[in-house]
Amino acid sequence: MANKLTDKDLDALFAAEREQAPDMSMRLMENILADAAHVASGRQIVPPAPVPVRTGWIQRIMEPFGGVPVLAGGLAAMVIGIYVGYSGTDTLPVVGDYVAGLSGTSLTDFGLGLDSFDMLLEEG
Amino acid sequence: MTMAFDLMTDWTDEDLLEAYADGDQSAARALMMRHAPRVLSLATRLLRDGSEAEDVTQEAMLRLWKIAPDWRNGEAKVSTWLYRVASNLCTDRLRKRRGVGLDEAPEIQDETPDAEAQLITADRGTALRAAMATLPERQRLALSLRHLEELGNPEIADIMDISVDAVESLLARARRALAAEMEKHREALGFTS
Repeated sequence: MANKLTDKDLDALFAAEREQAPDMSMRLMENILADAAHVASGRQIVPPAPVPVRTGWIQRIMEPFGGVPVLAGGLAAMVIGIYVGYSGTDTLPVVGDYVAGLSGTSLTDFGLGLDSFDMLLEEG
Repeated sequence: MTMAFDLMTDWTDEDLLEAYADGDQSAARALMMRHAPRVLSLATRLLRDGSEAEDVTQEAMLRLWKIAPDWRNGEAKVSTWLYRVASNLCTDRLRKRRGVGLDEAPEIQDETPDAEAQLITADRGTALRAAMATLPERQRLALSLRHLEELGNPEIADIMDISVDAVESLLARARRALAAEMEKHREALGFTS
């Protein structure tokens, strides 16, 4: 009976086989490079996202209501409303009387330096 | 900026991938010349069909181009990653040839009709390829990676997603099976010690 195929025999076979690696065809290389170009061309350059501006917690709370300017206006209106509610219109300044039509005072009485415009401000 | 291809021989794979992701096509060429021949060699040995092996090589490289911008340095070697992709693609094709679903596919031997006939008529190289074709595909893959691509067992373990011990066991079984297959034609192949 013949001796068994040895590890050395197998290694010799593998070594010979390693020399038989297939060659890359030009067509395959062209296809691979065409794929590379196609993938690269389809890749969009995305601009970096803007860095978010850090805001304080008060600003974040106010944001849904329109921010500081809107809330400031609302707060001012509320204060005036409370003042008017408690004190009544009698104590309002003369401007309030004029607006409410309770006084014969005209704007020219305020001494606003609008003498030159008297004609425009007078009725009739 | 595009670098001349011949100036990139000392670049690492990761450098080349990054350059390609930045639009340098010569980096793609350098990567192809470095890795595609080895992928083609493995695919040819596993599939024993040059045309299909070229398809697998092209597909594996295409996947590399797609993943380039997201490549994370240090997580895997490009060669290991490519071998893994290529071996999975080959396994899919081999199983489709047999018409068996991927999940239930058993490790059966390749019953290619010409595998036996080639042993008695061809030279040692052809005989070796034919004998390897009779092995279960995972044994064939392990043998190819170890003895033809000359990879170390840890890298083979990474590629096949098994432990190093399992690779050693697989290789030992594969070598025994291969030797037994070749033994049938020992004298015809000129092993007459």
